[in-house]
Amino acid sequence: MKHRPTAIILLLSCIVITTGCWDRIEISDRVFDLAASADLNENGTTLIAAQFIAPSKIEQSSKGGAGGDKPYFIESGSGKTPLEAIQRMRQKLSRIITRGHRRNYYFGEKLAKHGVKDLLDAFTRDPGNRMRLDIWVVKGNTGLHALQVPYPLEKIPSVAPLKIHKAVGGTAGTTYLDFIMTSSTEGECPTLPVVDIVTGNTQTKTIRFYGRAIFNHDYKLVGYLNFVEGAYRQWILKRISYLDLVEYVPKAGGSVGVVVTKFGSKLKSSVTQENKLKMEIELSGLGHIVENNTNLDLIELKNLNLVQNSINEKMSEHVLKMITKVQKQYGTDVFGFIQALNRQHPREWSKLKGRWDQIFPNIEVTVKVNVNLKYIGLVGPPLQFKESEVRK
Amino acid sequence: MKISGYQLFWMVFTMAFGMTALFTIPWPVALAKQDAWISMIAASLISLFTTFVAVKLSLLYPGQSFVQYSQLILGKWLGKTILVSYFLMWLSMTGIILREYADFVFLALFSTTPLWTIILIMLGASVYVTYSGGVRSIGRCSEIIGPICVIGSILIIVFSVNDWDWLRLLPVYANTGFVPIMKGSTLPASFLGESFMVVMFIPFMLKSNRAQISSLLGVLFASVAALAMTLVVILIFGPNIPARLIYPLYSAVTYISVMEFIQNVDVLAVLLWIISIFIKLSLYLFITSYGTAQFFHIKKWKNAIYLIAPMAFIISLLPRNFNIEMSYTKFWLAVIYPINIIGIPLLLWIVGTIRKKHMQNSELTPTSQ
Repeated sequence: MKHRPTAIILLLSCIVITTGCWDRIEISDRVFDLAASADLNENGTTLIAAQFIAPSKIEQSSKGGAGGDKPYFIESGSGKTPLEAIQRMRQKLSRIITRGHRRNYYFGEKLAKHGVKDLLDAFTRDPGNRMRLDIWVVKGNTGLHALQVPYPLEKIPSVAPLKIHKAVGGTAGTTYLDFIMTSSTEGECPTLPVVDIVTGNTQTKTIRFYGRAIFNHDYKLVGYLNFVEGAYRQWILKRISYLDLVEYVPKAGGSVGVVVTKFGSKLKSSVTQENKLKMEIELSGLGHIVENNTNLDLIELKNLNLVQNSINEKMSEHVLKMITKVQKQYGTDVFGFIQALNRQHPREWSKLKGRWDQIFPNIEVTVKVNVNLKYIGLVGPPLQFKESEVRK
Repeated sequence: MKISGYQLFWMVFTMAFGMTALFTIPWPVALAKQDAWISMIAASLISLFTTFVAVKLSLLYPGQSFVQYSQLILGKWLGKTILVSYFLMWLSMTGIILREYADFVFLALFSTTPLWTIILIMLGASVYVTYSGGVRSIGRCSEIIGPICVIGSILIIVFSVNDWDWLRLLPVYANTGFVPIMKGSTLPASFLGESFMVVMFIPFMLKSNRAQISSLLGVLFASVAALAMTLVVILIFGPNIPARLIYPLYSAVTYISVMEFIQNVDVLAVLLWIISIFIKLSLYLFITSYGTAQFFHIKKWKNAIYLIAPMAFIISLLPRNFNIEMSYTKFWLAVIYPINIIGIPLLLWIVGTIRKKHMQNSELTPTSQ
């Protein structure tokens, strides 16, 4: 009982100490950075721009009232390094930048070609940054421009690429980590997803998921894979969840469209002779037919098998063509071949790892795609053909 | 002041797990790459051995603390000299743990709050729990806090499952070899081996025969949990990145995103860190104060806290920057750990056993005559 007054005083002082801290920043003193971009200026400095939410405008635009006023704004700054550029940008901001919600980062093509090494460190060093980040290369354009393009479906346009990435079956949010992880693996080269800015027939500019950008060991952009090629590459690495493809079936004189899900991939490396490597790639997937422009009645097993074999054959050719292109044209291992070799033949790996750049272009690759067509949809024989034209 | 075997288990677990999981992972990963988990297994075996020695040593003289029986075993003066090295270790550890705690919280949560306030609040909590009931209240605290620690680490495992890639663990052993794996195990082994401090608690055990199983199980569970965290880190970040991160587990937790819904759960890692440090710090505070009191024959051991707590506070403010703490960790690993945790206890155990045998013999001889 006699301790009660002391206890009360102590409790009260607890309240005083624990409620306030030095780090309190009111929400009205923060500005939320949703996407940012980095570009190379003519004079060699870095231009950093960011898209911020303008909270007061969000309500307005959802009411549909005032219109015209965008719920975001873009601010930029230039400097020798990213931080210096951000410092210049902060001189124009009345609030403190909060990056907890930033999901997209654009690199302009020029900067990507010049090399992005100097930009990478701060993404992990500063605890205010999130590692779950998608970094995009803007093909043929600047990152700033990509920030400026409005997008009709999303209130804040920088949400768009993330959603596109998810909608087309990619692994959104992991590109930054994948980038630093592959670049820290000996012999492997990093990649980033690519967007470009296109004007459709309606003359409005929009963002498009273009494919994949390939970097070399110096973090310099060396080339692009288009959307389908990029998807094949992701398939080899099992980082894809959805892919739709149309292949021409020569024996039936028409094309068949397939949606592939449930992706599997197996890499089997073997060392044939002295320093000669062979890589057997086996890709598997589950196919749904969604389009049939041949006159084949797919309810017949032999017809389905015909389509399946033909599609697999064509796809194998296309995947091999893509790999050969990367091998011969870019000479960068973006398929994890060196890791497969390390897993399967560690002894050979330790002998060859130093000279991987010379070895990689000469690896003998075989590809076998094995998509199992499980569903043919709701229609058996194609409806657009007359009864007599349908091939049973 | 009495503690049960169950409480001892949670004390050892909570104390050993948090810091090992958050602080030591870069070391084995830097040396043993994707085989760091083998290093962790080796570390747990080593620490089980050191704990076994510590418990056996204490059980030679039941009811007496390390401070008392080391003087019995080695004689008054040699014993006292050795104890000085232990006091230096315990005191500096208390300070450094405080500082390491504060640095992490500073980096992860509060970057404009002055460091001394963060330190002072934690120290205040530890002093309170130690002063109010000594080892008994620490034991009760860990009984409640320990399971929270377990739940936290299970949540980390569950939330991160969809970011795992089992291929990142391959190839096993082929890239590294025996020496790097064993070298990698030293730092985690030394952190788990801090369970040596049970030598000060066993005298408080209700049933001292439960001491061995409780402390060994505590170390074992802490090692398994730390092993799981190491695996999580490697499965998410691969074999190269974690070695360069300072708190890889924290980075892994910040990376968690379950269906775009459960995100930014950094607080899980901070929680593990804070509660584990709280227990560890209170235990160090207790053994340092209690040991000092026994050493100088101070009647009221609680008075020693008034001396130890300010000293720990000052020590925690001494390091100029993070790198100096890292050099303390290196010193701890290279000098303190092999001498104070492995060497001296082993020596004491051997000498003590021989002495006991000798004493028994000399006791037996008169009766037989």
